Amino acid sequence: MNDHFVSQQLKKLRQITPNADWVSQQRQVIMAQVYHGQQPASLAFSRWSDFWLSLKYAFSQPGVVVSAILATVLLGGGTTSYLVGRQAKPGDSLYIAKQLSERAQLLAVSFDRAEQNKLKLALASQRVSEMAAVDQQADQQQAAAISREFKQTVSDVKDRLAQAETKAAAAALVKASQPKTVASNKTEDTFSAATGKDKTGRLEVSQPVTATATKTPSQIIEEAEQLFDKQEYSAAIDKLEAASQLMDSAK
Amino acid sequence: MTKSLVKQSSDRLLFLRLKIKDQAAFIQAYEAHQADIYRFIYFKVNSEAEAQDLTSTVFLKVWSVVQAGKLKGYNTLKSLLYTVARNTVIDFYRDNGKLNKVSLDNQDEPIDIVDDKPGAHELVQQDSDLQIIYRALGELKPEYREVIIMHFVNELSVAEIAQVTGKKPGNVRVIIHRGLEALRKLANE
Repeated sequence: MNDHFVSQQLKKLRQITPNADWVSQQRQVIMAQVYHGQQPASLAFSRWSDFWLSLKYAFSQPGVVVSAILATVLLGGGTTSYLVGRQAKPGDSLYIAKQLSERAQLLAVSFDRAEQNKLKLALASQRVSEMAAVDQQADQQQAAAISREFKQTVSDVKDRLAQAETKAAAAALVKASQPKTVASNKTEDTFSAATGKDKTGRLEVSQPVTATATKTPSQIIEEAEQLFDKQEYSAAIDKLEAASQLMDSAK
Repeated sequence: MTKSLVKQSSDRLLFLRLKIKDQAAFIQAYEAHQADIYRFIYFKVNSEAEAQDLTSTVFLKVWSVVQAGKLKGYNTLKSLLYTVARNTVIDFYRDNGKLNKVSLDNQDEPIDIVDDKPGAHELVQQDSDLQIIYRALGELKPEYREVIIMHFVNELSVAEIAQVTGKKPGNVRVIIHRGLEALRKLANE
């Protein structure tokens, strides 16, 4: 390979582009962000008296009164839409608003992977609740969309956990390969309750810790997925919560 | 060449409109540059999901800069976008430093570019030469990789890269030359 050939190959990497769905969703998020922050037309009121005078003048105009009524109705409607949107399911007209809200929440914690994973698990639980509420025979498309979203969300969390585990293992390997300067005190993996006696005078016996008792968050999430497939939705939510708590305690 | 000139002129116009906080111009800037910024970040973080999150963060940060009217330090739209993108990736590694002891963008530990999702991976699988270049890029020094991606993949000029990296154009030319040489050697190994 010569330099020209290498540069030609590099040009081909321009074909790496983000997922089209993601681009379109992000465009909506960005538009919401950009236009939400829009400053209203500025009216400078230096004094309260100016304000009241302007208000009095404005409401003497019939057009303004009509506009004010319309604005009240629309604003009221917007708030209602938001509240209803929180309950929206795929296919509903307000579902996109709900998705935007969820994505905005994820963006807010984009620098904290642990928080983002926990939030994604909460969103996955939300999908499970939606699946439990939907009539799967009548709304097959809706059920398929919820199922797809659930799988995608838990898959993202599992991928990220796997990446973190790989990195932690690599770091542990690096640490282990470094020469030890201080002799380590080898400790037994036992519960520390071997010193006292119980009411009957018997000695309590220490028990070795068994590794099988503990599960990783990824394993618990997989169990949740299996329960979701078996339509055991309540148990699936319990598992997702357990995984989230385990991730929290591992911080 | 003509296409490049048209794009430059369009970028210049967009940048001028951003100076007066034109919202539509910002949306156009997102549409025109999101793929390039995503690709730039993707080769730094080696993950589709992280690259998507960080790309979103970059554009939201850029909008904050535009809204705050702090564009004086930037000469072009690209210098604004790429500078914010670079800083966002640096912040990302710093904030996650406690969680991830092994940084992917560490000179002592080159990244292994293997993505688990279709897209980049599928593209590379279909072309054996590209596969070799893709792997070699992962072994390249981050300083070289960054400039190679900006120049050969995202088609930034030497002057534009100099603005983003804060280096002199002459230094950028040297890095491009050495980077390409190093990449060729790695590809031929």
